[in-house]
Amino acid sequence: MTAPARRVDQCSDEMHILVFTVQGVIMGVDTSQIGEILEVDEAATRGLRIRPIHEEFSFGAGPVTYKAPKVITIKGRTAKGTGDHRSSLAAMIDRPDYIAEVTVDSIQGVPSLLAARPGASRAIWGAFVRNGDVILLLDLLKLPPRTASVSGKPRTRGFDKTTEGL
Amino acid sequence: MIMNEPFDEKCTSDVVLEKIGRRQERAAVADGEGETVKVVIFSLHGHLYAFYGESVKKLMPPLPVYYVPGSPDFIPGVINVRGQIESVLNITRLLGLPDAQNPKSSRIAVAEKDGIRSGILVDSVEDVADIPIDSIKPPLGTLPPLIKEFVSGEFIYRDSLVILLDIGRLFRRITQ
Repeated sequence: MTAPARRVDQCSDEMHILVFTVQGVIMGVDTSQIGEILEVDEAATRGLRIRPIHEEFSFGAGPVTYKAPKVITIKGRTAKGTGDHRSSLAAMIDRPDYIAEVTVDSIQGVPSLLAARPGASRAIWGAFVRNGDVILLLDLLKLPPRTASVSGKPRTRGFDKTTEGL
Repeated sequence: MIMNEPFDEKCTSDVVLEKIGRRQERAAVADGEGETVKVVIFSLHGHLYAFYGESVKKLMPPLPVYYVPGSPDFIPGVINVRGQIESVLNITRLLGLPDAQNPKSSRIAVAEKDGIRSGILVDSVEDVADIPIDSIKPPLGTLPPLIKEFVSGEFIYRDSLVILLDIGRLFRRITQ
């Protein structure tokens, strides 16, 4: 299904991407999807449903360590009928670094071999190169919905938080 | 009308006809040699393999690989090839072979087939050669099943057996 021409024409030529790193993987999220950036404790106090990024994808073998975790609240529409109230959803990221101005022309789609794989996640939707590094683009609204309602601090299994940067 | 050109023994008609005849003989020999095809010969775990050259777009030295979460182990991630982001396929893992022992000699062959493009990690690139098409024989039936699935033929190169892999089958295996 293609986007209506009018909507495509109204898209800006530039995006602002919050760049962060989880377990050495540099990722970015369009800031238009972000409501707030919070400390983990504050997010837990507010009762937000926190989804650690490493629980959305496999990051390889071994536990994932967060050195400077932050929680970003997800702006977006509410999924009707599912109880998936995205305005109360939040993702836990690590080491938010900077906000990059990225032209749409500099963004590349996920390479064809990865994109065409059965079951490939649609949440990682593209990438761009900055200072020689490849930065993967993450669409928070395409994270698969959770059926269980989880709020408060993320569970500790497979998660080891250091105090650095807090 | 009198022609003033001197007589030249070297250019008699017999000599000219002989020259023409030799040229035709050489052309006939060239036609009889058959067509050749370009192949990129590389090594994996001490054995020689090859891709058809028309599918290989670039040969690159090792580059930093950026892991993509959720990828299978035979796709270590993506690379930055002069600003173009390409995936990398670890073919040894797909074929059930051990990883390269000497990463410094590893190379990345950027290949494209049937609309799919990816870098392919190989242990080393041995040669890029033109080989006669009729030297490519059907593969031996004794190949391991994991490898046989992707083999389109084999040939002898400098007294060594080279297994010709089909890039299209490799990519289809991953995407279907």
